[in-house]
Amino acid sequence: MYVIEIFIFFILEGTPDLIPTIYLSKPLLLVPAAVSIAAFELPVCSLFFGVLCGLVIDVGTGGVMGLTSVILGTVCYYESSWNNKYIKNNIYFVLLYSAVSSVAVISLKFFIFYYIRNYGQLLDFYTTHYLPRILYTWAVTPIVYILTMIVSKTYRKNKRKIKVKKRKRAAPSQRSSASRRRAKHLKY
Amino acid sequence: MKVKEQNNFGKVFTTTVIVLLVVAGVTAALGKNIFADFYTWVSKPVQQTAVSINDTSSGSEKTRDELLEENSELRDEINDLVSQVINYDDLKKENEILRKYYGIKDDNPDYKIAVANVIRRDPNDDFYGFTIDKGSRDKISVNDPVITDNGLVGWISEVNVTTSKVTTLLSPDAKVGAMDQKSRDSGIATGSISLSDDGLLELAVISADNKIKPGDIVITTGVGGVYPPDIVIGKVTKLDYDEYDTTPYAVIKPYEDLKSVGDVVVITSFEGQGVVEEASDSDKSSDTDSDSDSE
Repeated sequence: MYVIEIFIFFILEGTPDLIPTIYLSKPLLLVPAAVSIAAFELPVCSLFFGVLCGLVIDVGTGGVMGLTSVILGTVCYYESSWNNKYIKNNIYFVLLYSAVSSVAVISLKFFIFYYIRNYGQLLDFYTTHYLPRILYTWAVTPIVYILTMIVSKTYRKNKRKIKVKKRKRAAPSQRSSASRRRAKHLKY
Repeated sequence: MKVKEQNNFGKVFTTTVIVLLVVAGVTAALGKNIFADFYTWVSKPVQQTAVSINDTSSGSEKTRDELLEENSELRDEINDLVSQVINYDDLKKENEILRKYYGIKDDNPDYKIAVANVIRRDPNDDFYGFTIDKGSRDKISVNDPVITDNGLVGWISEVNVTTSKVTTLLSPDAKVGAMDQKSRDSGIATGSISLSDDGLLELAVISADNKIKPGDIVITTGVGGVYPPDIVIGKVTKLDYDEYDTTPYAVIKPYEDLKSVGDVVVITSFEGQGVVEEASDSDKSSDTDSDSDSE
């Protein structure tokens, strides 16, 4: 389910003219997606989806693979660990983690694609292009969080339904054997 | 038990980070990765579908009843047409694109071209680069020029099996040998950080006594063997001077809107492609000429 969600976000964020451009920037939907998934899952699972989101972002952008995954994997792993140990999962902390990961991921892109290439006007370009992108990415976090929550709940509901179905399927045979035993007992 | 679990998590986490760093190192060293090839191969059809759905849905603002009525009418029409035409839409679209680019092929018989559609615009790209639906399977390779019927758009900067990434002329990495069609003043057409957001380029490295005027058309020189000669880049909108070293440059407005281009043509082969040595020699000679002129 989450893989499909990630795949859909990847398609949506790259589709031309679909998401409106605000201040020359578009959001990176996969960053809040990774953080939101981590809010509902266990640490290793969160690490896996963080890494996956990072790899997909790197595929979309091109260039060096894996650096975004390190950032998202780490943030998601610790988010999930701390959620399980100390803090009860809620949207405020997801917003906090989303802010941290957005700043880290987008600033990394700035470093790789802009700073290293030495295009000049660093601060000006960061504030006009990258800062709005960070804010936009952070601003869409609640929407992504709600969608991820729906996905997570649907998945868990389906899982429960399947379990109940399995129990029901197993139940008639158990009942019949019990009734047979009861009948035998009555005969004797 | 909990401590053991935590240790396991820690091991998994450390291993993952190490693996990712190795992957990053390998991809950085090789400049190519199989993961990207595989992922783009999987995602390309879905991305294409998303683009076409977005294209069709953008203009519809009708009520439900109107749509139902239209739907029933269309159903009747479709029943009549289906028997006659099977892949009509696809053929029509392909025909339109080919007709559009027929002129390019007709004027330049030495060109080998591949018509492609834009399937993705990465939100991380600062200079409006995009992904097209053709890759190495269609004989596209890195540095192939990308054009439309309105002129030069950019070049192929990354190739996967089924998709390729295009860097536009708006990028400061663009260095295209260009000249004013009227005055024959040559320079380098390149992207500029201050102009890229307005969709403009600059013609830099032009001589101080140039005769370039606003309204002049700028074309490629073909020097360097990367771009074919005489491809239109854009129109000069104004002449200006660098604020620090007062060297002159011309601002060019491309005929094609590089920020929202939809379908493009990749020139996979042309006469004189990759003739770098000769080109660099001529570059040097032109440089020395200009030096001697300035002296």
